[in-house]
Amino acid sequence: MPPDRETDRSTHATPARVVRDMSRVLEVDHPIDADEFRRRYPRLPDALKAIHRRAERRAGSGASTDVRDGRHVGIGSELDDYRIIGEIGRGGMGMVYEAEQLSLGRRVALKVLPSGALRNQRAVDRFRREATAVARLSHPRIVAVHGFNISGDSAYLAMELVRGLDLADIVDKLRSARTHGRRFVLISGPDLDVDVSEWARGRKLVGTVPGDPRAPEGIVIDLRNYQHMAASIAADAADALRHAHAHGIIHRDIKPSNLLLSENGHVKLSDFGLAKGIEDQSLTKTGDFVGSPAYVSPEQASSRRARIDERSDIYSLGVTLYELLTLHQPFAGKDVADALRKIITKDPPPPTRINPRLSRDLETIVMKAIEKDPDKRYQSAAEFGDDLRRFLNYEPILARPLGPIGRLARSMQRNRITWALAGMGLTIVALLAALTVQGGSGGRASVILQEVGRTISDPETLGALQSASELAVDLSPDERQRRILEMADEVTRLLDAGDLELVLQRLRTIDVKVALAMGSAGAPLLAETLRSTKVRTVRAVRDAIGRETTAQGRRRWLLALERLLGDPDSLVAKNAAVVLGEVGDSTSLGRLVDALRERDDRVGKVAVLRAIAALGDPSVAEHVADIARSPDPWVRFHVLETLEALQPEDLELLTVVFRGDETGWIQHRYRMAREGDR
Amino acid sequence: MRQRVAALLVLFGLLVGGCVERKPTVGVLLPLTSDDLSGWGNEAYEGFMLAVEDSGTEFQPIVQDTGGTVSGTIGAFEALVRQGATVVIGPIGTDAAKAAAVVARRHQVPFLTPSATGVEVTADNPFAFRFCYDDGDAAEALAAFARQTLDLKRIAVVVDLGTSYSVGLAGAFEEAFSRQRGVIVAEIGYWADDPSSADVLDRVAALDVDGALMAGYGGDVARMVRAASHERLGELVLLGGDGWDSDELREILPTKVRDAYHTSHFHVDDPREASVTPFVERYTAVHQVPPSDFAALMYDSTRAVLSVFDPSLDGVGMAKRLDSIREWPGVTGVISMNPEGNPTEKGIVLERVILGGPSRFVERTSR
Ligand SMILES: Nc1ncnc2c1ncn2[C@@H]1O[C@H](COP(=O)(O)OP(=O)(O)O)[C@@H](O)[C@H]1O
Ligand SMILES: [Mg+2]
Repeated sequence: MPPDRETDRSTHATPARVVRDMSRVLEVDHPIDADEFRRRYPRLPDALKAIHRRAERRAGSGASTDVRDGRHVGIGSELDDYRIIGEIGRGGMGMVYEAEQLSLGRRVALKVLPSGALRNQRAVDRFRREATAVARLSHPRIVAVHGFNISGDSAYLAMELVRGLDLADIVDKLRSARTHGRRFVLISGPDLDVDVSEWARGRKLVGTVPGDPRAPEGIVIDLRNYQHMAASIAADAADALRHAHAHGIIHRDIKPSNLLLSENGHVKLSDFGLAKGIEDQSLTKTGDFVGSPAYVSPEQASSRRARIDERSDIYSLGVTLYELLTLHQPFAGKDVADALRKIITKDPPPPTRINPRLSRDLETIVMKAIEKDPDKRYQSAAEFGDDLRRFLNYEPILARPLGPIGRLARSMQRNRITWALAGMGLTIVALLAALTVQGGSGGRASVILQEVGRTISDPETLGALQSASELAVDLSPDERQRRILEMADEVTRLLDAGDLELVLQRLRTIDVKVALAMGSAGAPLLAETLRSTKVRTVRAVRDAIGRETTAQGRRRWLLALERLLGDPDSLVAKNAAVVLGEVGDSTSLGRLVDALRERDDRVGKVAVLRAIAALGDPSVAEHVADIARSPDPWVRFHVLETLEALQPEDLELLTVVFRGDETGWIQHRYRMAREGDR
Repeated sequence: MRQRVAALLVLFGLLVGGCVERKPTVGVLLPLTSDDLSGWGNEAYEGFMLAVEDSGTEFQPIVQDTGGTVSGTIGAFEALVRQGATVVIGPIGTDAAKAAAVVARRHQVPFLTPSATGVEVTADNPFAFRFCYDDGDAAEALAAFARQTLDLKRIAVVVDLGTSYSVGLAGAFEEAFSRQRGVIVAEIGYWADDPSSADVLDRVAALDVDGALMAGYGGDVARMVRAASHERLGELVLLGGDGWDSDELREILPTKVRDAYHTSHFHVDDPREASVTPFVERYTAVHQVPPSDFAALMYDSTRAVLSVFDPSLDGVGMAKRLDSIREWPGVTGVISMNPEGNPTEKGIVLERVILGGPSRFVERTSR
């Protein structure tokens, strides 16, 4: 759900609506998650908070506990060896305070179970479980436990105090910052005195204000490096999980509010309240839903005695990373039940669709972590963390993106056509329909095409779809192939006749037609037959640009060229790159980089790097960084060749790629490049 | 000669299309009537005819003209399939062979190209085979020769942007040369039919280079060499691939540049094989000229296909037969198929272009 709408909702939140919302929450028998409630109604007036509390009390008899029931633990009051200093946070389990451990004179975080909850055996079990679980663990990325006590009318857990914010807070701040369009996010505090170069690396984040652990001076996040910061946080969290899993403990409640970001930019995993032993499956009964809805894995969400294992934690961490990167939850639903349904059935939009500046590699990693089928995820936290580190070190990652066909095949399996139609590119839609045509009857195809038709407003494309659907339904494969050749020949004739506008128009729709008519089998044939025509078209566009006298006219041709580059054959990509290096601009080159990024096309990639160098426009530097992670040494070699066209700061970034490059001849060229710089 | 071929085609067309019903047979795909490649296509055709004769079979494969275009190749391949071909010899160029690969997969009818060197041609396709080395191998050999034997350090690469062949060869050479610590100073692209390509070589000569790889076809390179006039031209060494097989180029080159070398598949002076001499003699007796690369490669391909052809097998069966070719003695080398459909250990011939005569055999490098 976009944050603006969310804010909207809270502004318009009426008591009635909140109650309704809450009761929906209650219908699904699960512990109320105050974090989620707070996030949903960030600007909730106090009156509504009272309702919230009432709702929580109602739930108290069920799975949850009432934090306000019984005596409130006041500031200054003492619990055994601990004196309460201030409130830090509130979770579903109880209040978390900053406290002083009197005997040792150290500050700790004290999680206190309200006395009322002591009557709730389930809550007590949960609390005990948390304490015993964490006690087995000792890891720098896991909040350490100092002490634990359940006796009479009090229960508390003393832990290492983490000064900083939890990731849910960070995401909130970023959301509001984004709505205000800021590039740098100053989370709080006007006078910041932090080394800027450290922020740029996304590491050094916080300074503190004495006496107020929850209000550090500020956290600065450089959005240019934000994705790296997010990835490194996730990698840290994966380390924590690796440790927990190695000790036989599954966390089961990984989510932003349980990941605490410390002052030095490292994350610490907390809240093992739902944790349990890997071998101990007894506690999960059918319908016993645990965890926070947005982050639970499909196997937890369906809760059909599915074996929940380490991979559920990997999933939840994946969703957390997804949210950090996009500021959207992948499966936001209108209520818990809706969210759970989506978790089980929907494919989330790829993160780059929400945030196009994200690296494809990182997207690939996230998508692998949140695969619905646990077997397709990273199989261990170590694998997940290692791939994140590879990304951070500009090394090729191991996860492979699902190609468009793979994505479609998967969505077809689940028969979710509307999802694909909603936001994907037209070609994809066409391919989808084509797959259906291949596998099914004509009647089914036309139903889908009608559906497709509704989502397309461009009459040109619509026409193509229509004629293609006729092709698809009525013709034999041989006949279809003959038609493709005819269509290709026609384009070639138009080109011979010099009608460039019409050629460009035909070329734009011909992919769709063929995909619909022949499915994926048609694409290679079309690529072969149209290759030389497309090459000639690219040239013709270059000549047309040469003849234009106005910048506007040139831009128009470039745009036409860009639209040809959806899925370029490598020879076409090479030609386009050469032409763009001559007459193009950073936008058009960026478009080409996008088209090539996921492809295994060294010819195209090398050509585009050369073009970037030829153009010398530093604003395409980001794209270079994306290509730089290629596993192909020849492509990386050309990244070096491109260095000189870039600004020094980006040069630094790319240096990271090559410093560690093992390939001797690349090192050789790298040294030449560095010496050439001086 | 062209008329003769055309008449033959009509004849075959009538015979096969008219009365024979899908009897399993061998098909041949060659560019016989196009402008660009028909010279090579017809040389290949001569090699084909000689091979049929030598194999002593009554059996006549069906020949289809591709017209030298991609869609022509697809149409011709389709026609061969309709006529019952369960194995196809040809086509000869990389662009056509890539198209043929798509059709071959669709119908599960294998093809064996004598001369298409593009690396992608046989990639991931159990129905695509070739009888020559690929551009990656050629580029490797040429780069090693340029660096080690000729000691060239700085090279420009001139590439025909319109053909997969040239782009593939250029890219592979650039990588191989860079790996050997050579410097690719620039890559200059041209389109063969673009008038502005005339000054390409003058632009190369203006650079600080020892020489250039001219990765395009011989005819185009000849045109560029003819048009060039830069004073430094005489200092350059030009390199080329198997596409340089052009008399026009051989005539003009030695008058303009310091030296010129190119790769090829076959040379009459190659001392390697005893079998080469009788083939050359027979061919020369019939045609009054020594066999070209294309004639020799097509001769080998045809003889090999005819030797494994079995009318009781379908396309899949024929693909297996091609797959199983081992230690097959050809005039262009001993051929064993690897699982990718490429011959293993096919040597690369290097030739030096010299004034007033055919190119001279330099060496055959094994890979
Ligand atoms: N050790 C700690 N140091 C600092 N803040 C903490 C610590 N533990 C928890 N918090 C804060 O309190 C909130 C609730 O704590 P948590 O352990 O998640 O409880 P719950 O089980 O109720 O969700 C966290 O989201 C975090 O902001
Ligand atoms: Mg929590």
